[in-house]
Amino acid sequence: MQISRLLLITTLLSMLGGFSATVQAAGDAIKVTSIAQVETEVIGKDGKKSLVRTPVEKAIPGTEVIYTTTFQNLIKKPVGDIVINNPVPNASEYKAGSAFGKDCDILFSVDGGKTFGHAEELTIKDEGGKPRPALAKEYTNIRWIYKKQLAPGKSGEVGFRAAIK
Amino acid sequence: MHPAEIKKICSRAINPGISVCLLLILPQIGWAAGTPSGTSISNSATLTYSVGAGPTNTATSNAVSFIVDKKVNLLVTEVSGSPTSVGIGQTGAVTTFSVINLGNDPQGFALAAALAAGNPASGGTPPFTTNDFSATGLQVFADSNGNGVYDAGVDTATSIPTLAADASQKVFIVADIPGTAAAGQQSVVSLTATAVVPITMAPLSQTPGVDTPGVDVVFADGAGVTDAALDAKYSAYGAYLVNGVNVTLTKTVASIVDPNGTAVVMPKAVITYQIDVDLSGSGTADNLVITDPLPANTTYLANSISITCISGTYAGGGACGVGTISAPQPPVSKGDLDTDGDYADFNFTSANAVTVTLGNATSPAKSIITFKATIN
Repeated sequence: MQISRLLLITTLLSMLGGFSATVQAAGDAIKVTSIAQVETEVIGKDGKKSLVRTPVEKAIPGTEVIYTTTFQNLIKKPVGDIVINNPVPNASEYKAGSAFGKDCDILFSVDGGKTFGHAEELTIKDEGGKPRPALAKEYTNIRWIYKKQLAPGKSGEVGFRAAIK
Repeated sequence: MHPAEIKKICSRAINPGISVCLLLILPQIGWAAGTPSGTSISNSATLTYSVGAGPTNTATSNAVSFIVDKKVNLLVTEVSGSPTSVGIGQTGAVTTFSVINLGNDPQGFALAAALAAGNPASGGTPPFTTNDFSATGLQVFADSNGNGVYDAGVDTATSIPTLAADASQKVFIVADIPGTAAAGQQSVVSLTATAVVPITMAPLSQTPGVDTPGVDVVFADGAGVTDAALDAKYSAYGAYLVNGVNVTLTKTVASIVDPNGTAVVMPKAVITYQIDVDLSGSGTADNLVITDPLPANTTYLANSISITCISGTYAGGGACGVGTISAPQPPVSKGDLDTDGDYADFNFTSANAVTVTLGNATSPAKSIITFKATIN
C-alpha cells in the first residue's frame, strides 16, 4: 500500500510536471491568433477605389472569406521548426492561389491531412481510378513550413481565402 | 447527378394537320444549392515549433467562427424561348415559365402575371419585344402536380408554398386572346416571382444594418425584366403570338419616264409599278399568287415583269424558287408567257393582268414585283 501510494504520487507529480511544462511552452512561447474577414471595395472621398477588410458579417454561399493566422514569439529565444496547419474550414472551398505566407513553403493536402504536397504535385483519382491533377476546391488542408527562425518579439502571418459553398 | 431532362419541343402546324416535334435530351445544369443558413463555419490553426534543441511543442489558435446567413435568390425564365402560338379568340392560352430557387434555404414564391407595358415591351428580350395587343383575363398557376404542363382544374395553386434550395417549378400564365387580335400580332406578358416565407407566404425582409449573431436574411437576386436587383423578386417576359400569316401587298409607282426623259405624266410616258409583297405573322401562305390588273388607260410594256426576292422560305415552285433566301437577291426579269416556266406572265393566267406565282411562302418573307406600262 505504502509503495503503491508513493508510486502513484510520483507518477502524478511527473505527469503534472510534464503537462505543465508543455502548457507553459505552448502557451507562452508563441501566440497564435486566427481571424476571418471579408474584403469589400470602398470608394473614398477622392473617388479612388480601395479594398477594405472587415470581420465576416453577412455570410452567404459564395462569400469569399479571408482567414489570417498571426504567430508571435513571446519568449527571449528564437523559435524554430515552425509549421502551421489549417484545415480548409467546413462548408468552404479553397480559392486557387490564395494561400500566402512570407518565408513559407506552402503545401496542400487532398486527403484530409494525411499527405501533403505542392499544388502541382497533388492528384485525385478519377472515376476510372486514374490520377488527375487535383483542383484547388478539392484541397482539404493547408500547411505552411516557416523556413526561418522567429526572432524574439517578432511575428509572422499566413493565410488563405475560401468561399462559402 | 442530376437526371437528364427530356424536353419535347413542338412547332405549331405550318400547314394544317402537320406539326413538327423535336425530342431533345438536355443535361440538367446543376446549381450549387449552397450551404444551408444557420451552418456554423469555424476555423482554427495549429502551430508546432521548437525552441533550441527542445521538444516539438504545439500551439493552437482561437477558433474563429460565423453563421451562414440566409441567401435569397431566384431566377424566372420563359421555358420555350419563343412566343406561344395562339388562334384569334382562343381561351385559356398557356405560356410556361420556370422558377428556380437559387438561395440556400427552402423558400415560398408568390406569383404575379401582368401585361407588358409599351410597344416594344420595355426591356423586352427577343422574341418578346413586339407588343401589339393585350391578352385578357390573365391568371397564374403553379405546376402543382409537377408534370411540366398546365392541367386546368388540377394546377389550381396560384403560388408556390415551398420550393427546396436548388429546385425549380414550372409556372403557367393562362390568358384569353381577344377576337380583335390579328394574325401576326403579339401580346407580351410578364411573370414576377417574389421570394416569401414558406407556407405562411409572409413577406421577407432583409436583416437591416450590421450583422446579427443569428441568421440574417440577405437578398442576392439579379434584376429581371421589370424588377430591380436585390429585391427578392425576379421577372421574365413571355408572349402570345396570333398564328396565321398576313400577306400585305403595297402598290406604288416607282418611276415615270416621259418621252422627253423627264417625269411628266403624259401620253407615252412609261410608268414603273412596284408591288411589295410582305408576309408577316407566323405560318405559310400556300399557293401565293399575286394578280395585278393593268390600270385603265395604260398599255403593258412587253417583257417588263421583274421580281426581286428579298427574304423568306419558299416551297412548291414559284418565282423566288425553292428554299430559304438568306440574302436579298438581284432583280430577275421575267417573260410574259405562262409556258416559259418562270412563274410570271401577262394576260395568260388572268386577262389583262400581271400574274406572279410565289408558291408556298413562309413568313417572314418579302419580295418586290415590278412591271411597266405606257400611258395611252
